[in-house]
Amino acid sequence: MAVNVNTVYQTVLFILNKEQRGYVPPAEFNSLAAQVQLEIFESYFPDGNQLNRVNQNNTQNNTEFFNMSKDIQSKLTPFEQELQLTINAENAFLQPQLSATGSINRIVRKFGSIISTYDGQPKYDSITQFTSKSDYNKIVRSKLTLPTKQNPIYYLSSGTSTSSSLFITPLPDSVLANCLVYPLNPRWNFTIGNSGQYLYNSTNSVNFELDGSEQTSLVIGLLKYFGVVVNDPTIIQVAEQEAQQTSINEKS
Amino acid sequence: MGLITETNQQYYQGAQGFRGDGVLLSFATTFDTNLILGSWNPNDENYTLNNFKLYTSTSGLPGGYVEYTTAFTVVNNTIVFPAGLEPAVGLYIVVQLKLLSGGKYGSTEAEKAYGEVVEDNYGSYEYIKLSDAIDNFMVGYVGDGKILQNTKKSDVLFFAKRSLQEFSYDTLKSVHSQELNIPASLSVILPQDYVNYVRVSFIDQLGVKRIIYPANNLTISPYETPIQDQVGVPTQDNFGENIEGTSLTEERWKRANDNLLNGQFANNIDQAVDFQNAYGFEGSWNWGRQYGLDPQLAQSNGWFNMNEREGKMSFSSNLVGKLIVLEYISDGLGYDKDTKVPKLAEDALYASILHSIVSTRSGQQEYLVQRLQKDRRAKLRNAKIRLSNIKLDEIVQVMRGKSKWIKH
Repeated sequence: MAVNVNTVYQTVLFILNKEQRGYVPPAEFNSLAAQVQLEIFESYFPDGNQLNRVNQNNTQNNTEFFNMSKDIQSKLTPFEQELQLTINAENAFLQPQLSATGSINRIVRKFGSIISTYDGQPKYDSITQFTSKSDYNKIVRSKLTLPTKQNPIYYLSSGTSTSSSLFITPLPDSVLANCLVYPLNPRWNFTIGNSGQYLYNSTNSVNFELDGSEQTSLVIGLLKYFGVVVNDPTIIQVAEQEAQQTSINEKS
Repeated sequence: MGLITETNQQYYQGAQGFRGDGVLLSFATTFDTNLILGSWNPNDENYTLNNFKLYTSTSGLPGGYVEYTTAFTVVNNTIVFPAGLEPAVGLYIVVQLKLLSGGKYGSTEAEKAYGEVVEDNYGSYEYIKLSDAIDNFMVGYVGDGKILQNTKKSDVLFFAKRSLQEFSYDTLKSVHSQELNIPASLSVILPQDYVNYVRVSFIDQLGVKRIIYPANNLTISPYETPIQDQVGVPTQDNFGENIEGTSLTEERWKRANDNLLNGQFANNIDQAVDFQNAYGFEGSWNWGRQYGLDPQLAQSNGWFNMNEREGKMSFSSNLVGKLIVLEYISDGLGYDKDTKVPKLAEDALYASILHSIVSTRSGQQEYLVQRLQKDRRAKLRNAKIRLSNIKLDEIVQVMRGKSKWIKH
């Protein structure tokens, strides 16, 4: 469940306006909201890695709601997409062209599992193994590990294009990639009221795509930046302490 | 869910039937065997590549089927008819994999589906494909909270194939054999997937196997036979390489009379004289000089030796024209259909892959490596015992002859 952008904006304004500290115009809010959302989104990866170590020690709990590793995974679920990659002239597979209106309107953050499909008789849908270029060079030189339609491998390289492309061996007919995409930038859209005030307009507003549980983190994160904006160290300090406390609590 | 997905008809007859409804264009087969379509057209040279035939019938009665030789394709084991050629309502359609008997749907010899595709699948439940074993291993042994947290599939693939090779050498049943005739040249080419021989036998008139023994100490096929000059130095050609001649050792061995080696000349006075001439014995009938027979040479079945230089197996001259059977081992990776593991050794394969991966990792606790090594050894031993096919009834049958005197 996404976080309503208006709720966050109003909460932030409410805290900031206490004791007449300052006011944040929508343009500044939108800009910093995108920054904070990205910060929280990126923090999932190191946090996920850290929390997954408990799985590796076989000491992770298997409760329904209190497994932090699963929790982070579920927070990333809205950003998981299965994309059909497109092939270029170099026989490399790229993410499809971004389109503002189509389903592919965001940039891929990470490629997950890749399924290469080989048409023909028989047809193969094979999990494709990621290797470094160095490993790739070794693997294709051993007859025992030579990639086949049942065991294809790929490495990432930019090739001649500017974005990261997948070079898959043997060359498949089509590729389906499980990807993590970046969240869309939040936007608090408004209309101007009779007295020149900003009025929230849900049309064309974009909510935070993060999980509903991140509302507090978003507010705290925004306050940290707005403390800098309004030049009030008290807000920065309180926000940082709050964020730190949450982080310690989650990971211990 | 059971592991067997083929119906009895698919397994035993190699056939699967469908009914047309006037609308459907595609009919998905569910054989364990992938359909191979070279061409639907019997006049096309690729037609012989097909591993099945397609028959249709309006009545579905025996003798009422005809081969379907109009355009169709196969996509992912599904028979696809072109648009506009939808099989009519109620039309019986049968996909018949090729089998030795030709199947029961073709009316003429040309229409019958002759081949060995169905037979190749018989007994397949005894084995698991290597690719399936690797997928199973990835599921059961690799992942969070397991011994192998993160392992590349290519590593698993490497060690699985290596394990299969090792198993093929000394654990798995030797299933490869070739029936060959010994030509006048007295040598046959080694099979393409040959790694080592298990047994070589000639087949007598009753079809009984008679073991042929290696000529280890009797003769040799020299690896190099350089032509020497008058002082014994090998001579070279224009490219600086030694000039090779034919082997005189092999020529003499081909001409050799085996009876002079195995002592069977006693009944033939001419051969006895040859024996004396060959070995320079003086005086008449120096039988005593043989000091009795050497048991390893006292057999009349014949000998073979390996010609490593030419990749051939050579035979003694008494075997010319004879029928032999060469039983040999391969490494299990030669052909796709060989890359399978008996289910009786499946667990041993997993243990072997696991141990190999863990033992080649840096920083792995030694106690774990040792544990997995013991596990591997125990499971391999178990697999060997299982595959040895020791059956109580068969042992009892052998032991019934135990009251016989054993002669030395």
